[in-house]
Amino acid sequence: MTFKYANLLLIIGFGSLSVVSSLLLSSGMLFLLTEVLVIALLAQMWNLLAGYGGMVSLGQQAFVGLGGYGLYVFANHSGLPVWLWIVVVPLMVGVAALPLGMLMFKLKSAYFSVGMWVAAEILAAIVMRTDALGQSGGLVLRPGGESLAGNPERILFAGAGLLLIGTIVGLRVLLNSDLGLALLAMRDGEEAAEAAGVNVRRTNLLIFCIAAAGCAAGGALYYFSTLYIAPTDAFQINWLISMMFVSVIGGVGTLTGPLLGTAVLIAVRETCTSLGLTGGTYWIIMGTIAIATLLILPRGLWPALRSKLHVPKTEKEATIG
Amino acid sequence: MIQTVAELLFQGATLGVLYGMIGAGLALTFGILKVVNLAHGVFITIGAFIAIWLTSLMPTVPLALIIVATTVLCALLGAALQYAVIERAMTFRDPSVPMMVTFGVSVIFTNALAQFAGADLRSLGVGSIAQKSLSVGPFNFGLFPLLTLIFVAVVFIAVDATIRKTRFGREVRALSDRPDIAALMGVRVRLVHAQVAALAAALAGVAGVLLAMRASVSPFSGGENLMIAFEVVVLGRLGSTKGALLAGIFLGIVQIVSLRFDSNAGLLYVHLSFILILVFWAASGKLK
Repeated sequence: MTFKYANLLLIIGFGSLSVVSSLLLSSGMLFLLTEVLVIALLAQMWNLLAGYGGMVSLGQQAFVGLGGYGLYVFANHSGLPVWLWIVVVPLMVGVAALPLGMLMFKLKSAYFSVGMWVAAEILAAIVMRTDALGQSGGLVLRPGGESLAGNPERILFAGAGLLLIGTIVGLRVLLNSDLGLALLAMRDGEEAAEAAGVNVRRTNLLIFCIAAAGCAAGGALYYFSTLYIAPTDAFQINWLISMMFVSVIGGVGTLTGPLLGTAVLIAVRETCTSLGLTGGTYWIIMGTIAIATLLILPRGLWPALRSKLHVPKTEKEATIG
Repeated sequence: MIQTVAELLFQGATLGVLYGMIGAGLALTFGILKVVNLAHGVFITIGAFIAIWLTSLMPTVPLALIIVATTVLCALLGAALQYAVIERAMTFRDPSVPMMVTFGVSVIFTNALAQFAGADLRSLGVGSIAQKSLSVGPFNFGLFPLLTLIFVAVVFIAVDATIRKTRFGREVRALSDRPDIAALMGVRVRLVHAQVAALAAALAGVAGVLLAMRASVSPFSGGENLMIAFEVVVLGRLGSTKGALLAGIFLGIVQIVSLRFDSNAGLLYVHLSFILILVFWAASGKLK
């Protein structure tokens, strides 16, 4: 099967699956599954940055928060439909990420990582102190100043499903293009890539902005489903921890890895909930799994599993370790 | 007026030397082990909580002894972590592996601490010495901050002398410059790595105890502390202990002065001043 048909089939298959299940499942289940899809999407974005771009960011939660707050502010204060903003706000965040990226790229490797975290902290502190954003009390979603009518969770879930599969297919196409080749060349050696005619800085900036927009889309979708947003929640480091652990467990630098990692995350979380364990225990277990994966299978579960199952390599992969 | 300014500067400096100490520990692991230890911030919190736990367990034991015990425990923990986990992560070619491993460690430690000690803010009482102060002309300096200042100065001189004058220090410097040749010359690499990790963890632990005496800490303070340590290292131009000390003092003064004008600013102005300096350096081409 050619690459194009595989992509088309993926979109139609998973797209119709998410539409059909959005009509059949209960709203509690849909709420949970929307969060799962959002985590998978965020992990794809973190993985794009770290696995393919070699930029380990500890500040991606900033974009999740920006996406959520952007949606609330624009939907609440403009007369335009909230569904429009869920598309526009991520694009705006992607553009706004450009100057931040230009500054942060002055910091190399680990300095970039922690620098991003500092930037996210500053943003959270500013939101927490801004009157118009409800300070630490947060905001309620009231599009056009009125309470939201109906149950958005069905459309939200279908939208999140479509967005996730669209993102994965988009990344597949991207990684098979010249840009993907440039990224892989950069991972192997920036100087060599530069010498071969790759504009390293511009490629990195593009990836950074795409990842920012993707995280903002995840934040907008998630906080649309909660109907309430607060800074300590929207900008919390736990968003980042989930993205990193999910990617690391599943396989950094593969597209299937973050999906597999998300499955692990949900399995652990639901097991903890059903056993009555606290949130702290859940994070301890996830951290242990992530560290064990890094030490034993630094490339993650998916690459190891794939060679066991003799699944042929169909995607461009970056290597780690 | 001049008294207020002097007092603020003094408070900022006594806080800042602690930041310098945190930064020096991070710079040590980065410079010598070539590992970005994202668990460094957690050692600061762990130090504080061990001291709080020990004093509640043995209220009659003098504070100096508590500090020594805490330092030793933190050093042991740091060495054990290096030996058992980080050393293995360092064998991978990609430097992001040890970084992500230490991040995982910090998540585990933070949540374990919160489960064990509760998520509340805690602080460590210093007893009657907190009220004592020393008058120099029109100025009033707290005795406890003064002692902190002297203590940190002694620690810095001791660390500096250890690195420059002792056999251990020579091995450390050799490992940092040419690890392969150092190993050929008989330096026991894993042992020295564990010792360096112990030293860094001890510095973080002591700083944590002293910070808990000034202000309250929670199990979730590790992230904040890590960011400060990182800012100290960047502003202090990596690797030099004097640079770390000066950068720490600068950030400490920024924090104390900003809190004076805006009492719930937290670390906002500290982070902002750090980013502003970065922007300035980037614009003037100083970052390369």
